[in-house]
Amino acid sequence: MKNKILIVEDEALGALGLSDLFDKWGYEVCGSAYSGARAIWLDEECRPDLITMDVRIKGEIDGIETARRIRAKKFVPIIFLSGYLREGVKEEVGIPDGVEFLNKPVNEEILRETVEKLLNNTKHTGQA
Amino acid sequence: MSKAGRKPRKNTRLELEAMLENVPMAVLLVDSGTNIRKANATASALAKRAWQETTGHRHGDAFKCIHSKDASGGCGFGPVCGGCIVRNAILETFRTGINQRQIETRGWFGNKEDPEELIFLVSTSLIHFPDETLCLVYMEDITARKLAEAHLIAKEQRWATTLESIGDAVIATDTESRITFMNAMAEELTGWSLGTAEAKPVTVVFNIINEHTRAVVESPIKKALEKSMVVGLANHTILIRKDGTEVPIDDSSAPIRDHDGRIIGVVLVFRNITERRQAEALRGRLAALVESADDAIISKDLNGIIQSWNAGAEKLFGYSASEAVGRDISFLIPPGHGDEVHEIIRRISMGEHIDHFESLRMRKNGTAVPVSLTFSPITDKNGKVLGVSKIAHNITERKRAESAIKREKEKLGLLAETARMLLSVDMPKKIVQGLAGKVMRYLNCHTFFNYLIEDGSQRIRLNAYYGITGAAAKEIECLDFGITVSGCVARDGCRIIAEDIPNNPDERTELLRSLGIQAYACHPLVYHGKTIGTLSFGARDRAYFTQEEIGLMSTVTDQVATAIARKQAEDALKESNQKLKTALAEKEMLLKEVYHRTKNNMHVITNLIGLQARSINDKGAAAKTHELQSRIQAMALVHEKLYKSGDLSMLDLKDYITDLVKALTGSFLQGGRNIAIDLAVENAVVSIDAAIPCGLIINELISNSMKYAFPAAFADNIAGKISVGLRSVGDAQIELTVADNGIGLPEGTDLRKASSLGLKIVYNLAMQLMGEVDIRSAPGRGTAFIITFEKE
Repeated sequence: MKNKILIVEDEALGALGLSDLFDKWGYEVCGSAYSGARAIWLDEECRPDLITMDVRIKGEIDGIETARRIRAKKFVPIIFLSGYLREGVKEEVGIPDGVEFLNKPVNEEILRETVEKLLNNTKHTGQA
Repeated sequence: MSKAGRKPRKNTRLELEAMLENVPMAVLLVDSGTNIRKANATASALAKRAWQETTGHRHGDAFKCIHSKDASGGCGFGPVCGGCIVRNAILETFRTGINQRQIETRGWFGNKEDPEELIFLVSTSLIHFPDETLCLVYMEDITARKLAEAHLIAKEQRWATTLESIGDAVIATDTESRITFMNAMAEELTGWSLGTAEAKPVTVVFNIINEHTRAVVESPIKKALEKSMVVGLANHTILIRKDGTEVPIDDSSAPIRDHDGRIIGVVLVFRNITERRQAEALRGRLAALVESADDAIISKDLNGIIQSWNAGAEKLFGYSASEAVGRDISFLIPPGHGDEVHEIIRRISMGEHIDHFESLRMRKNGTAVPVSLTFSPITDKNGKVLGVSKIAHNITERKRAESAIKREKEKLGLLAETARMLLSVDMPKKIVQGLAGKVMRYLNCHTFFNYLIEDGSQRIRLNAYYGITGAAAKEIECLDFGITVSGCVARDGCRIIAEDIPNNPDERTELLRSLGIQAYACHPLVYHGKTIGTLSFGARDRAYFTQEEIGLMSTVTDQVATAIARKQAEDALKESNQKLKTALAEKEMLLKEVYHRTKNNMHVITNLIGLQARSINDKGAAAKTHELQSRIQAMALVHEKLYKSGDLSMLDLKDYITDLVKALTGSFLQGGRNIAIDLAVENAVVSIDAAIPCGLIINELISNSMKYAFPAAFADNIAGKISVGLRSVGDAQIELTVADNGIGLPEGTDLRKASSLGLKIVYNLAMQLMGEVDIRSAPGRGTAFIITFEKE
């Protein structure tokens, strides 16, 4: 069974690009959200195995807050993508494990490795 | 006598002749032809002739009657002689034998040009002598007596007329007090007519009593008779008239004496004094009013000499009536008001009234009192101005109230002006200089100082001042907190009022002492709890301020503090606005630069891709590369529009779409296709976030139509056309339409599941715009994409 990935990205072509990549790598893109609120809703709907989270998104809450809310309910690995990652953002997010941070534009290979690593870690630790 | 008569005397004849000669009347003996036989000496004297000359002539000739000269025949032949009384009496006596007695006649005698009129009484008697009968004629000359009588009658007539017409009532009585005369006024007053009253005792008609006791008053007539002198009537006498009504009268009576001084009666003169009584009562009331009035009421003659002076005048001016009456009014006039008096008297002399004339008058104690004066002329009954009456009303209280109101008004005006100045003047120094100067003058102060606390320091700096030299100001220009009164007020934020400074041991007032200031009030300028400076006022000629003055200073100080703080805040705001403007301009410049560089970079990218494409031999790959170029150009155009627009974040879609479509179709037409482009685009200003997706969507859809809508076999039969429409729907939405009249989409095309990259892009961008996509397409009948999205 394919792992399901939820894309949170307010840039349509960015989302399209990610979607194409995950499709090619054999994952199922279960949803694409352009705002935090929609991301929280889609997470409930499609139960993804991983989320890619743009830090700057449309709507009242940003990607970090969206991630906090989702992770407050359950564990799901999250890859934060941002055009400019501030120093200390990891501490700012305050989520100890199951998160990664990647700069945009993202290198396809690094993204692929990161996705695989997070999904494998989840399997090994038994968290789901 | 009869005894003597009986005793004959021998010279009787001589005695008789002598008697006849000397009786005081003319005696003539006349014959029946009226010739005089004999005349006595009196007759000769009357005829002014010797007696011999009268004998033998007729009487008219003898006495030189002027009518005897009217005819040549003399007396008895003239035209009027037939009516001569003397002649007719003589002839009648001879004819009838009857003696005539004292017939009055008058005749004209002597020179005809200047005749003398004589009045006679003529008597005749016949005397029979033995040989003939003669007529004895007596002519008594009564001319003098007649003249006297005529005078007397005329005199009586005049008196009677006078008595009838005078306003006084007159009653005359005889010595028995019986009425002999009443004039018309007496009839009117008593109610008795002379007809009914005559001969009645005077007490019946003239019934008088005392007004108060009602006792009968003794008749003044009786008194006049008894004392033979003029008697006045007692006061308060009432006459009871015939009908019982009463009249107040005064009267007097005087005895009437004949030529010899014997009393022959009494004349009583009296008059109705009702009106006089009323006038007296009125005068009395007026006098009481004048005397009891609070105002000073004074009368003076036209020379300014005081005639009367009431109690109010005593009270107002301090002089008693005895001190003032008879003096010239000028002692009440303060110096410099002399002309006023002359002007008033001049106007009053012309009969003018002067009302509520306000001036000053001097009191006995030497102080001046403000008065409102009303002047009226005092006139006699003919309107002739005799003097001036003057009412002086003390208006000290009113003046005091007016002055208080005036000062209050001035104060309000000052505060209003202050407020106005504070709002309009730009410079804090100017504000205080103009304003504090005004307040200082209003308060009769001589100096003011305004210090402002230097920002972030413990020092105050002199901002404005008045009343000291520039050199002195230089010395106190900058003071530390706690130095001088102002330094203390600035430090502590509390008001300090220093009074009686010459005798004040406080060393903080030393500077003030050296500047000659006696009273000094220093107020902190406080705004929103923060002390920003001080404002102080000083007086050199008095040692204290009133509460009102300090209150006003305090009010003004608060206003000044507000104004200065406002000014400072404005300045700070201006400065920060200026900084913002500069920063904004810098940001805009930067943004333009960024857009410009982004556009340039995109062109570089397109060119690089173009270069790369030329080395690709695979036609399909080359076409995809061109698509990529086209997409990047669509985005570059947005940036170009942005940096060329005035607003760096918004652009007009109409302008953008027009240029975009031109560029797109240009590139396709190079391929020799004949497809018409129809643009129907409204103005719609949107942000860059909407413009780029919109541009990319149009790019994809037009490319799609160009590439797939008109395949060669289909295009031969129609004139190809692509329409691009943009319009506002309601206030918030925009509807974008891209349509063609081409072959139509394959049946069952679902945009969401589209496999072509172009349609994927369209769908995703539409979602990004939060828009809806409506696709209308039928085989052979064209395709229309209608995308509706929010403006913002």
